[in-house]
Amino acid sequence: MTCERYWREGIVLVERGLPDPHRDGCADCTRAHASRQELIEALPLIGAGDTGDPYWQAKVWQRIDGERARAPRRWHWQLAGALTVACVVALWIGLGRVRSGDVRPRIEIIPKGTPMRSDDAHVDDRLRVTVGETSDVWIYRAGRLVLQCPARQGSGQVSDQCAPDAHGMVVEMILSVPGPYQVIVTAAPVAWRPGGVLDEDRAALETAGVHYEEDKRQVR
Amino acid sequence: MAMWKMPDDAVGQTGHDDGDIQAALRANDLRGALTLMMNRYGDEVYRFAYAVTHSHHLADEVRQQVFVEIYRDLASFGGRASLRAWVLGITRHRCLDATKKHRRWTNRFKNDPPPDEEPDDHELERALDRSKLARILAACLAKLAPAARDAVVLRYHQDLSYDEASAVAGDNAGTLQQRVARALPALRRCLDARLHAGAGR
Repeated sequence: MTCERYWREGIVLVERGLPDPHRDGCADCTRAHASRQELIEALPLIGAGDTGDPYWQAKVWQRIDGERARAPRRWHWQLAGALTVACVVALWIGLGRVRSGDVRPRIEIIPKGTPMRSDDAHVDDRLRVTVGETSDVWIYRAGRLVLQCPARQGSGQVSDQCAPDAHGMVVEMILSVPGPYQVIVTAAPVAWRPGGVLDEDRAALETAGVHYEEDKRQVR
Repeated sequence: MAMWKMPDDAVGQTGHDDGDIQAALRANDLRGALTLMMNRYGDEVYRFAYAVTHSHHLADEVRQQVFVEIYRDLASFGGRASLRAWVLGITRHRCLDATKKHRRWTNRFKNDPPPDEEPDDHELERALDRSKLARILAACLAKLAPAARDAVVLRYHQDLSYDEASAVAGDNAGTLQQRVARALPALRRCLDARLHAGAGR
């Protein structure tokens, strides 16, 4: 005989630590309870005496030391951080130089009065061309040469309009006459003087294989 | 620096005084502390893992993982629970991971036909040597659903009170009591069936 009630209800009371009055008067349930006792007394036998791999502690240390060896060390992170900061600073300085106008060649219109840079030019504004040491600057109005500044490197030429600076030359002229202006900036010093006509001078540069940049501004 | 604070009941249910581990941690001696913990709890973790996974290989693997994890988290443990409960809690989680990877028990469980009737209570009284009984019990435990198996192991294999088991398992004590109450008859049926089969051969 078995005691269904015990396995269904009585055992819940036992696990909750509550008394089970039915069990005292039921021989089957008493036997069932004894059977449960045997079972729970046998459970600690599982794995008793088993200690597993005798070298398990050494393997734990191996894993720990292996993980530490693989993990990036703190100074690696510090170095990476320092490099990142250095890159950011370098980038910031570089951008600052770009923003501050240290890119050459650079062509700007400086309005008369309030010194604001603009692409729109008006009479009496100034045209400023900032170039490196190896560039010639030729400025034309309506295709005719109005100003020529040889490269600072080797020329030694200094004038009010062609002023050398620490990194090359700054050319400035007042745009006193309305009309189209063209600016030629060569990549290398040119050995000859320009003829004075834009199309011909441009052709001469191309024939000689001299790289150049050309910019056009309309002065109103 | 190790942030270490032992609870008032630093002496666990097993009677361990973890003061030496506490001292090692205060001295920021993590390796020393782990060595003490491995010596103290290593076998218990292994037996717990074996009872849950029913595999010596998995139990060894789980034990190694547990202590690697303990070493990693030792400095930040902070004494939120008793050391033993913390160790067993980690063990339980690693066992769950291990058994998920080895789902054989699930298939066995699903393929098992339900027992036809309650076997005679006297059958448990049949003499068997303890090691054989333990092996059969381990096999039967492995067939239980994970939550029920954990509850039984924590309560009757690890001999934790329901409140302690609750702290380890993260379920309330009443839930664990219900699980155990349902699991024990299933275990007993399994045990009797195997004893029957063994006697019939």
